[in-house]
Amino acid sequence: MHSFDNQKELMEKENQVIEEETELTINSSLKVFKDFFTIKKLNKYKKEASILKKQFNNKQKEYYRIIEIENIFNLMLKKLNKDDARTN
Amino acid sequence: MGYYLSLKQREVKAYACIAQLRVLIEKIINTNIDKEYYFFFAYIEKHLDQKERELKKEQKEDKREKIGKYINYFLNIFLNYDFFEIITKSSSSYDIWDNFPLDWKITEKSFKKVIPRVFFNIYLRTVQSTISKEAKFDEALNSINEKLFPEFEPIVWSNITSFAILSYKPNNRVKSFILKKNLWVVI
Repeated sequence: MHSFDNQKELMEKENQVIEEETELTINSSLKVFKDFFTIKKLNKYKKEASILKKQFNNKQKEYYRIIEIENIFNLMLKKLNKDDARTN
Repeated sequence: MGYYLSLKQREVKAYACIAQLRVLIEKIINTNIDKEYYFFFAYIEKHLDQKERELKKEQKEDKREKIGKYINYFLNIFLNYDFFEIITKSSSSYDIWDNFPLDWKITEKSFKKVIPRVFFNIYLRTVQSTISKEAKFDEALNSINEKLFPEFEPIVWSNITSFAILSYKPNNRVKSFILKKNLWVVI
């Protein structure tokens, strides 16, 4: 039981590190590639991804690539909208 | 002509110098002695620190531009893709990265500084050339990704970089990204 708790704690810590690194990566990417990832462009990419997803099924690796890039778009949009709300 | 060299002659001399520097870099990296890397980086770091200080002090715009260009060219000659490729292939790759100056790595905070910015441009060029080479998976690039961006989540960062720098048609950018089979991104 003790070992299971340790393992669980380790996994939680690892996930927390990944989450922090991801947030940092998203924030920095928005700064360095600011022309590519505006709210307008991200919404356009999201729309394209959503249409494209219907062309693949969940056994194809393309399907998971779409989900992966969609998640990135969502995280970027979340950050940009948050910054926007703060400015206004 | 006298003392002055023609532009062509200067270019030939400059290329000869660059070729010699590359041989030298390769020799240093392949010596497999820890302290060589330490001194190698320490000397370059000292030299560039001095140039950065000059840049900060300089008031005149034309002189600032000149110093900025110098730093840019200097790093491009010394630490270009060939350099990263040599590091990856070297049996002492770990030691070399271990001695790589922390201030040169790209982080959220360091990005505005001169040297990390130059490295970032070298990095972008590297990614672009690797993708256009149609390579399946580039070990050198993956290593640069991990070592040069120590704070970033590697998979998220590789996906974003690939997506941003591939020159696809703007209307089906996602499709081109998804269908590009030979991306170096690890999924």
